[in-house]
Amino acid sequence: MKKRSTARRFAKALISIAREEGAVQKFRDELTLTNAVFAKTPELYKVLLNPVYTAQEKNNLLNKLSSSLSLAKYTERFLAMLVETRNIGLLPEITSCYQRLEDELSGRIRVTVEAPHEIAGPVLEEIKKKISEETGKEAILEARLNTTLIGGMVLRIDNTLLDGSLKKQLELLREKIAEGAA
Amino acid sequence: MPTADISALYQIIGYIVLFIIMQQFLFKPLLKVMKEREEKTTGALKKASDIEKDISDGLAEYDRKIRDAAAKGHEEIKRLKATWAEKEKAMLDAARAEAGTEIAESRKSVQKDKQNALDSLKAETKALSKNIAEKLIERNVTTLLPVVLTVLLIPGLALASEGGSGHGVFNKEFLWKSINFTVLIIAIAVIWKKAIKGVLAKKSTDIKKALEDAKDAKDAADKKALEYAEKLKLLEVRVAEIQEAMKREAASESMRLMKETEQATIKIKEQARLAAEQELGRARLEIQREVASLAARMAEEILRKELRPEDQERLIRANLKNLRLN
Repeated sequence: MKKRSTARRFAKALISIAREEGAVQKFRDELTLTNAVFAKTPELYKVLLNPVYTAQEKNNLLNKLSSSLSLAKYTERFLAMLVETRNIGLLPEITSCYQRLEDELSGRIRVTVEAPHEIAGPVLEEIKKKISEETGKEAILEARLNTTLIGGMVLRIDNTLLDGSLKKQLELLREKIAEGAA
Repeated sequence: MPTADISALYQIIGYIVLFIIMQQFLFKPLLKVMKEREEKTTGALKKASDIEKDISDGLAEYDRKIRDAAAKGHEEIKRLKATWAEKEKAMLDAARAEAGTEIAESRKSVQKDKQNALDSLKAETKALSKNIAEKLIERNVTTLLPVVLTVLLIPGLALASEGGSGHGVFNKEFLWKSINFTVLIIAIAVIWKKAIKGVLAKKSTDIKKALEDAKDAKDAADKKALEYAEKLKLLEVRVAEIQEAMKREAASESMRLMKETEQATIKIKEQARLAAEQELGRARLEIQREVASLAARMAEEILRKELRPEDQERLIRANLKNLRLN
């Protein structure tokens, strides 16, 4: 919880600067790219969090990374500050929070749609349309397969879970039968 | 101046005869009576002592019986407590029967002791009667003295009558001899009387004292016997009270145990019923769960087999129809 709160504060600070610079989209792309690199190379966290290495050595490593990823100066400074305050481990959460903040600013909402089978395009459009109508925001869908659901779908909107799967309905039915209320 | 002649021989013979007569009719009966009296006085004291001992033993027995009665009562209650749970009704009956037997035995024992005490008192009464008779005998002994004197005078009278029919020459001499004999007899009588009187007076005092002692002992024994009789009466009452208290306590204890047993029985039954109900409920719940799980598994298998794309789309659309985010 504390990590999430800290990550949110960092994300808010970063997006505030990004808005001043008019580079909200750019910062998000660079943050997402950096996060992807760190996710693929977890050793980077180990080096940057290891007190054996000096600040200079860590800065040198960040400079090389920044050069290779062509990161903006603010992004590079932001990463340096995370290393200095030993919060570089919060990079995935900060990225996620930044995306949400950016979505809010842009009037978008990210929705994960889980289903046991691939959902056809028209149906996905119907889902997108319905969610947009309900939230008043542009829905960006991410479809995922989950065969355990049997049928129906599960929607994840931010921290909200809407379970309309047959698996859930079967569970509810089983509980009702077990309680003798069915 | 008297001369020794045949008359002296007569006198000696007369004295001997008199001594023999007195020995036979006075000294021997007198000594015999005194001996018997002594024996009776001592016997009375001994009897009184025996009575006291009997009473003392009886009192000890009394205490023992009281203690026994109380101890038996407590023992019975203890036994009732210990084994009530196993044989409630049987124990009550046994306790009642035992209490009845004990009461009967105690009554019998008390009756026996009472009778023994009464018998002893009766025997003592007989002894006392004999002592009274002895007193009467003492009076009779004193009345024998004139007879003795008469007997003592018989030889003199015989000789006097013999002299009356004799020669005249004897008159003066006979008179002298008679006076001499009479003086002798009187002297003997006085001496004997004094001696006998002294002996008898002393003996009388001793006997009186012995009788008084015997009477005191007897009175004390009577008093103790009365106390004992009172105690015997109280013993019966006391034992009855103890038995009654024991019965009451046993009854109270039995009632309490019975209630406890009844309550325990009800509780046990209730617990058994609850346990059965709980068991039934658990079984019912398990069956429901089992049924629910089985139904869910079977439904899942059917759905996996039978679910078609159009069904999936229909489900999604149904979800969307019910979707409310605001």
